[in-house]
Amino acid sequence: MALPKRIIKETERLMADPAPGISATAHEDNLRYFDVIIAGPTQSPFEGGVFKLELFLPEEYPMSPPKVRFLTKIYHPNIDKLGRICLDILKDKWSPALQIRTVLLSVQALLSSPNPDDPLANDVAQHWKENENAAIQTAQEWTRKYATA
Amino acid sequence: MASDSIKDSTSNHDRKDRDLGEEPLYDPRSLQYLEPTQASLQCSVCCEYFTEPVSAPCGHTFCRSCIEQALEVRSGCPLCRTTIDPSSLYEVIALSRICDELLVYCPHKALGCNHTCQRIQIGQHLKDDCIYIGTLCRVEECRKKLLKKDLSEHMESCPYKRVDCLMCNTKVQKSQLSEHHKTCPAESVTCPHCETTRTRLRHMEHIKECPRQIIPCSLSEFGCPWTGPRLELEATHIPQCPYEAIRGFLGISKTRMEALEQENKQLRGMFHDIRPQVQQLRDQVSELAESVQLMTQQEQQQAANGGGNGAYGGAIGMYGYMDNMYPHQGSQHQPMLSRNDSYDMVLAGDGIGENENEMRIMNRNNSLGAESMVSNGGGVAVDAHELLISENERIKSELETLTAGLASLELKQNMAIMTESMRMQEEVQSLRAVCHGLRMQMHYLLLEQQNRHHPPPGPPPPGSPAGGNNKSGGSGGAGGPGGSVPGGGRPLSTSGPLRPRFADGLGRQETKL
Repeated sequence: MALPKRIIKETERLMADPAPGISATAHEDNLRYFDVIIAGPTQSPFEGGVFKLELFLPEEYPMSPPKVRFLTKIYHPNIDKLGRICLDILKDKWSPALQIRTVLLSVQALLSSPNPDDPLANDVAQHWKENENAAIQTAQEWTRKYATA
Repeated sequence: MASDSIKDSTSNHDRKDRDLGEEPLYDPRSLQYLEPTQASLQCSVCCEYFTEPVSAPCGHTFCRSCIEQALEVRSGCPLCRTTIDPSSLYEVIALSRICDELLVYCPHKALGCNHTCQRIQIGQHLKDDCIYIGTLCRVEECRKKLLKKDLSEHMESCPYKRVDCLMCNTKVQKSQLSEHHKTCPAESVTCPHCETTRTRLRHMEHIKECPRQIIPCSLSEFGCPWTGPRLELEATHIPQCPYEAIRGFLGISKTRMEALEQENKQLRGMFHDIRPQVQQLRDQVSELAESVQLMTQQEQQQAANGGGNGAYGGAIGMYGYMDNMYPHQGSQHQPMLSRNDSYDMVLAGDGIGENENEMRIMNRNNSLGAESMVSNGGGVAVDAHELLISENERIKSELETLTAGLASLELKQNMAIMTESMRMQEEVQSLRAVCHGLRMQMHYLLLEQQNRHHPPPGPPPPGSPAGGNNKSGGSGGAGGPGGSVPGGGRPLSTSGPLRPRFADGLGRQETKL
């Protein structure tokens, strides 16, 4: 099936005008599959880290959301050890008006503001709630350990 | 209005394209615009300039197809998530017109078309003007895919295009024109024999009667080696042709030959039909031969086991055969034979009695052997079973013949006894007569002695007392033959030698009668 023009356009725009701290590159052999790198936002426990993600646009895109997953280990209450992300716009709050760029910006924002009240990794969320400072310290350690380029 | 017109034009194109078997003229979403991107005129779902823009009550605008598709998945507005009822969408005509007036490149820009026009006119351009659009060769047999600009050039050289043959005025495919000229009936052809020229159509007729054509003799099939121009055949050759003289005979033999060939063919066919049947029969015969061999082997075995049985049957057969052979011959011999028969039979019967026991034992052994065979060769089991059944039947039939033979023998024996007893009776009668005669003689002698001692009153005539005594002796003899026989021993030594034999012969003759 031919690639919809919207995907081509989005890819072109991501290459030509990337969002700050985000880079997405389509695979040459599968233009629906993207290698994504998100820099850890400043003022967050993940600052200085370089996080690798994968993004896949399903056949129904943009009517259904892209599939996004962290490849780099990260200590975050909304991201589990398999890299799956708990983010509403990737699930029931998806809208066809959203794009790859906006999705990645949302993920970046999620790094800045972890939400332990809607956890995916329960132990991390518990840690975050009970002792936020210690949790942030662990997150910083993990970032140093796993997310340094 | 504008959207309607564009809809109509595209649908028209679609129909025409389908008729031609071509691809749709263009995809409105893949058009390239001259204008720099103006986000405010773009649909947020497809990220293109609006096509048929519609607005929802929330105020957001999308392409009609985009929002309809999105609402199938989620009923909220893609931008503000407000619930949208599809029937509440309404067209934004002004926006539609603005978008239709945007300048676009021809979709075949990559192929070389540099045409640009308002978006609303691109359909018209593709339909009528664009020479870079794909099309098909109009010739049915060709249907080659090519660009419209190349069509006229292609039509010049299309190998399937029909062109007029200048000679016969028929339409011929261009690629086959040179081939056509070789067979065109209007083409002029020179006769190779008489060098006259005419059209091919007439040449085909001419060649059948061209006087200069070299032809073989009309009787060449029978062996005439002559060849020469047609006009010489009738004029000079035929009168001299040696085959002409026997033309009638040749004709007859030819037809006969043909008939024979046909018959031969027929027979061949029949032979072919019959061959499998013959084979089948041959197989059957060989099968039968095998079974017969098997049976004879068994019989031999049995004969060896119970020889008496076979001999017995054989003897009966022999006698029956002899009876049949000599039905009118001297019955004199028959009783003799019968007597011998019965004697033999008794002997044979004794033999049978002994042999039968033997045979039974042997049979038992045989059957045991058969059983062991069955158990040994499982594959032969069925055959052996059938064999046993057939043997059983054979024995049954043999038994029947034996009983029949027995009955006939009994009959024969009865007959023999009867004839024998009759003969005995006759013999007894004749002996009685002899006894009577002797008694009479004794009587006579006694009387003569008495007469010698005491002188007789008068010599009686020698014949009369014999005759009278004969008559009386008939009744007297019957009364006491036992007493006369011992007495008859003496006169037998003197006068008996001839008489009894004579009487015996007489008795025999009587039985013969």
